[in-house]
Amino acid sequence: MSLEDFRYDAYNCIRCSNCKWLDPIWMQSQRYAKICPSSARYLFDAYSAQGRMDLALGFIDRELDYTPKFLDIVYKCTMGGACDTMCKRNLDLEVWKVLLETRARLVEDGQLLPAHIPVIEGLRKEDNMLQRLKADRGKWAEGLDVKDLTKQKAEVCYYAGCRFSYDEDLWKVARGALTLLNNHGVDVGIMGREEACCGGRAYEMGYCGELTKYAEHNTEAWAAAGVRTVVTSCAECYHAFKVLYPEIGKKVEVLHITEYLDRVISEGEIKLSKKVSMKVTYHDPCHLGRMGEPYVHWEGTRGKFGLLTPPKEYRRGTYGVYEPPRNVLKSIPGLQLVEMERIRENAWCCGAGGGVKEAYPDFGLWTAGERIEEAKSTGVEALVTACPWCERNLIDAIKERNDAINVYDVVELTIQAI
Amino acid sequence: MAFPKLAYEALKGIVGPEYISDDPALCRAYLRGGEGVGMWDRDRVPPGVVVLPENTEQVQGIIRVANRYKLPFVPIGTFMIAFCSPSRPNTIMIDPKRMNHLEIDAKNQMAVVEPYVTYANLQAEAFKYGLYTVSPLCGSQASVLANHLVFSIGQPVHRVGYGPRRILGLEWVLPSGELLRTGSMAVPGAGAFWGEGPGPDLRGMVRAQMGHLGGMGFVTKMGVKLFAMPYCQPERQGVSPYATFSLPEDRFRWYVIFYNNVDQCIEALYKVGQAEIGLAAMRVPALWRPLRKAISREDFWERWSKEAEESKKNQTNVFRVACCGFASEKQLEYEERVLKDIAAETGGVFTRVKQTSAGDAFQNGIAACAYKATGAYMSQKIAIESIDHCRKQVRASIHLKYALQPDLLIEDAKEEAGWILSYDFGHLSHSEETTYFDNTEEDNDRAVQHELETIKFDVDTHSWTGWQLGWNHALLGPEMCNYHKLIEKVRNTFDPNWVSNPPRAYISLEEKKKDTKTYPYRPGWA
Repeated sequence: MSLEDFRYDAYNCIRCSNCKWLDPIWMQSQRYAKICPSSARYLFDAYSAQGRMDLALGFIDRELDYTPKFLDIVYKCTMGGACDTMCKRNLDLEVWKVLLETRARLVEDGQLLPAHIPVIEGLRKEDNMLQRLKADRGKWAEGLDVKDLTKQKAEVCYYAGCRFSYDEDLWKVARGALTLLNNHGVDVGIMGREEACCGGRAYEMGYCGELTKYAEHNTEAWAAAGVRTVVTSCAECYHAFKVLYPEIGKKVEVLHITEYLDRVISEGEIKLSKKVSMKVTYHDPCHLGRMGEPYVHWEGTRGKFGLLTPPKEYRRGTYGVYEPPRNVLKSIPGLQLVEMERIRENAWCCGAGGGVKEAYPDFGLWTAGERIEEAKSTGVEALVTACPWCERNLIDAIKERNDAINVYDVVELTIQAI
Repeated sequence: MAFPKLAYEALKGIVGPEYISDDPALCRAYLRGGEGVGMWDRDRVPPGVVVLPENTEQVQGIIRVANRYKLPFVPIGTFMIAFCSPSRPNTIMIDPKRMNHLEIDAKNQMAVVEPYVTYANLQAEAFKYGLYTVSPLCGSQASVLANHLVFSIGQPVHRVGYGPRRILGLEWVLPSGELLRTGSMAVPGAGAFWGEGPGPDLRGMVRAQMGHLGGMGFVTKMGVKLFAMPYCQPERQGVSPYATFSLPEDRFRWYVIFYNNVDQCIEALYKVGQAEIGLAAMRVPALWRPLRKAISREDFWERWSKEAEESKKNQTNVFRVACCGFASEKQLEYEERVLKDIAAETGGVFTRVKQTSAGDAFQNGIAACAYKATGAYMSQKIAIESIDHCRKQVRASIHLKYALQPDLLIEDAKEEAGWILSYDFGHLSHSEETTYFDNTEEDNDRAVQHELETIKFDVDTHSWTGWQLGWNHALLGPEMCNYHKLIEKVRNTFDPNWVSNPPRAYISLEEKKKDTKTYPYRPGWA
């Protein structure tokens, strides 16, 4: 697909501004009414999805050329898909695809965002998004008794992803998840230092070729190791495997760790018996929540009134992974889950996505800060999430703001309860 | 033509370097107003500069610069259905996103809002006090302030009345940059509690017939009425697009009464008003039901094809009523009994519908849904008049509408286009005839031509032409007591340099004839 393939979507944006706001059904205050971090932070309308649709249309129709500001507008977006979900409440427009294809076109035309260049060079050299050595990738799992999928076969691959592999503060989450799987008798293994990036984050920066490359590599590696299911604790990797891989013809059976835990806890296979006396709130990661619903292939034509033949099943965020993490938290004795105002498909992004953390760290931290404020307004002690990118960005923001709230992964609290 | 450097520097000095830009990419996002690309504002050009003022003083400064350098300016609200795209070079676009202050006086049931407070914002805050505002049909993402300057039409207008009359005072920067405070806001420290005085009521001046489309300066603050409702906790459920919002059924209920002819429906609308019951009362077209239920365009057409078949046989005139027990549960029981009697007397089939109907009435608005049918639509005949007159209006030009959209015609059925809402318990009514079309260049041309046809039809049949855009006043005025001359005088008095969103609010016939670039699609009129 190319940007031109989405001209209909850009052209038919009605500029209703729904892409900037929470679904009014769920809006409970003016303070937490906004859903687009970019629009909320940078205010000029170009920084909203409807503004970016105009930019895309101007570019497609050759009425607008690249400027540094053009790149700034396109990339100061966390690609969290809130605009897409809010738009599709009423309209059948592929907003996220327009944003993505605009980035892809920039990359194709050599209009690269300077801050992304070392990240992509690092990816191409070391197979990870954190500019770290490939040789160090498996260190997070050192000392754990687990199958090495480069030498042994297993039904399940636990895929750590770049952030968990290299972020030492978060190793406990990945190690905990793997231990849970192992202890529960799952035939699980890891790729260790041979694990490669999922390609999803690079794809969202506009480097679409990287997704194809890593999708081919990873699916081949899993097939060679006899892997039938991939389990991951990273929402971005989950989205890549669940949505982006099938879109380019690579099918993978993937479970987020919270889906797995929800299943085994509800079936009574894991008993949570220890009390964890804590009042927490849950932050839905964009890539697990509204963007985590399965990919549905569509191929067809558009006719009069824009009608599609055959009808298309739109991804609207309706079937995202919202309940499994909540179910796990609710089954922890003593834990009190209090909801924020912006939840599920209406969740406010953590600010780390779309290459923002790499290129615009101040914007990323501001976005996280907004989420922390919202969490604090519920009177909780901790913010719980299910994605390492969210967790890292929230932790960084708390540190910068000198805030007192804690951040946990669902897995950490689950382990405390066993 | 580059934006004048001195003017740019002056504007930068007012708002600060962070809140001004003339970058083409950034300005591009202000090229089109609301609605589809091709429909109304084809004459648009990107603004020369975009500014984001923080307060009234900054807005005054910006408008003074516009006057000093004879540069046009366009105040924008929240986009949707706005005629706020620049059509002249070097336009200053004033985006009010930093002006979103909201203050509620719960005891006195009112709020003071700045331009970037949306209805959904206000509603969310008002609910906390057991108060509500009218969520407009265009969607609650619209600006409270801007929408009150037009007509703030939403379902509860049956009870709370015409939008501009709910204005309790304005802080208004005139097109010259002068500051004018109206209503009780004109008295220092008095606050916004009374819209009319002291002195003459200037709300008519800022509102005109239905707003000036940014042609009369920039309103920076507005006092608006809020209304009491039984204090309750709304129930929110589900995930988009199936999210629902309900209010407790012991105090709120929604009903649909089906009729097989429009006259019975109109009779019921009058009777509901005369009985002084109901929170909302409106006649909706049969088309609306599949439109509201559909989750995609394909889904709409599937539903509509079934519904259209049914409509040929059955009652298609849908009368929606909401009742509320404001004072007590007994009040609701009483109103329901009265409504049943009215349905029986007028030959309607009475049904109670889901509590989730509250979502459209209080939270959502509905206009964005209307795009589901064909990708574009327009309300080419908007009338605010008596119920009877509105009913005649929507009937009169039905043949014109179906000439444009044969795919949505139900032959031999009782379906008739148009919404008819009651204001003020039936003392006033609002009707809109909505025409759906394909959002292509060709169909847009047809739609614009169609709009002209309906106006010509109205002139020929001595009907009221309904809400008109600025460029039509000079054409219609001679047919209607030369009202355009009054508009022109007002315009010259308030905006001597013609800098406030020209030519949206008004354009003279002479100027229009000269400006063939702006009006190439209006043949046959000049």
